[in-house]
Amino acid sequence: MLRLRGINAGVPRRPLLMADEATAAKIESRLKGIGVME
Amino acid sequence: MKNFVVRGVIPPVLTPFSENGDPDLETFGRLLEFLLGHVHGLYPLGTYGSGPLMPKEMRIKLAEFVVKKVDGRVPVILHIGAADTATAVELAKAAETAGADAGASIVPFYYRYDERCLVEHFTRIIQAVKIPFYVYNNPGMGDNTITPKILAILADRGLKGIKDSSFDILTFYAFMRAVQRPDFDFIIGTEALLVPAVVAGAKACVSGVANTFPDIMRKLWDAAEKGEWGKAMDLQQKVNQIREVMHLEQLDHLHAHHASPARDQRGCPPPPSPDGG
Repeated sequence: MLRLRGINAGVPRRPLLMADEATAAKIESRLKGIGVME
Repeated sequence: MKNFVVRGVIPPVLTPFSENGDPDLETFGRLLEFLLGHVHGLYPLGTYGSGPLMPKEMRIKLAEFVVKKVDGRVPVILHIGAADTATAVELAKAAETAGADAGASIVPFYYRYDERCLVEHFTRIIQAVKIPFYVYNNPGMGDNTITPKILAILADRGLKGIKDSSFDILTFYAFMRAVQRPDFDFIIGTEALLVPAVVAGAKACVSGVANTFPDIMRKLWDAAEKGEWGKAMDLQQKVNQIREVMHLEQLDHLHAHHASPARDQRGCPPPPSPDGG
């Protein structure tokens, strides 16, 4: 199940579509790796 | 919005859905507010926005919601594309009534059409409304494609511009040669080619990445617009890295509608009507 992560949480995070928590963590880790997410 | 001018970073806004398949308007509103702090315009209900997957009434409801929420802060270019001409015309009229600043339409999909049919399809849409109208070229979303010749014909019939998502800068340049009018807008339909498009005179970029990273896209646009090409290329490469990361999990194909059973509410498509007159 995909979620619009971040915006749904009601906090000023970037909205990311994630298939599940594991995918979310993987994508966020890679985005942090290239320096575009804190 | 008076004096409509297209410019800059324009995200094809995602449409969030709730678990029961209805648009999640509260989340949608937050997403719009998040984007409005960074971008120059909005392109709702397109490919990212799942417009072609929605029932007609849902598209009209969301068009009204977005226009009201944005309230003139940036131009809204509403995508109204459909597989048949009658629905596209009806949605174009609804977009105008809702107060959208401009409309845009993908080529009719599912069936293949010849040049004459495609010209007729878009001519009927253009002539049905008074708001500026754009053709959305995306060969990856169907078998029909806009050619430079078709674009030139439609430009003479009132088309305002093209959003080209062919992912081929040579095609984009060919469109620019076909229509050499200063008031005609060329919009690159991917952030991956922003720099080479802006170099050639593109007025805007419809960027999927801008849904998530509107701030970085804004920096890229600003650098390119100022002709700071070294800085722009550094940011272009960063943006293309983001694309690669997102594509690792095929997120380019996974949009908000996948969280929703709404995609199962389409029913059977109506028969095609772009019959060439």
